[in-house]
Amino acid sequence: MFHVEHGTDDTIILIGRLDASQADKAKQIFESITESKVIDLKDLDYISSLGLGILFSTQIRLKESGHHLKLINMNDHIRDVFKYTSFDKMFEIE
Amino acid sequence: MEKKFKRDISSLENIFEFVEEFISSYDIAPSIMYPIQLAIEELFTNILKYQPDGRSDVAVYLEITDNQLVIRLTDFDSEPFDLTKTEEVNTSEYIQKKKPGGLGIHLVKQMVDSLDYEYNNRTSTITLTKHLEM
Repeated sequence: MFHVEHGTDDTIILIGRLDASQADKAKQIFESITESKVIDLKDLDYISSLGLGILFSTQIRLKESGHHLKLINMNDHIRDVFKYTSFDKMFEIE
Repeated sequence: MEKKFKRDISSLENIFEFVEEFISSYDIAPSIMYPIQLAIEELFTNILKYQPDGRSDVAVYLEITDNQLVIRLTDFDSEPFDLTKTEEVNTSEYIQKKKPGGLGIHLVKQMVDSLDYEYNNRTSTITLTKHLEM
């Protein structure tokens, strides 16, 4: 399952598995973001193309108003997925 | 090992469990789990998206042979859709266009060593192989 928690300051923590069955829930959460946020992926075990697409669309929308998402603490598998899709060029990743 | 799954997004959880059960019964690196689950999810959701009128269950078959993991998805009620012939995704281009598309199949191709497609009598069979470090 997938859920989010709001950390301190501007951090959103993604938890669990963001697969296609969770895409609607994730979409709703990300569509409500209107300013720069840090997305903490330390507890995100899995993401597939639908989840990537949601992050991508959010980043595009935020950049239009001078904001952005910064991604931190991604595991090696998720880092690979970002590399394979060139999404690592779209985000500040720490 | 083969299991049939209902043609519905809610089947993903059961598919993941099936893969996990299979992989953990062999002495292979658990790190294989992510790419295999990802490849199967992308292919299964592709079937749901592009074969919406299909009525059959979808079978997932897993086998380890000659240091290779063989994964086969069979859709028994489909129109032909040869995903091995889909255009290569130019990731820089879609970043410029600001519209992601075809990402799933692109990821599958990155995750496995081979991808084959057969179509016969309304049945689509997609076979993937991945070399295993054993």
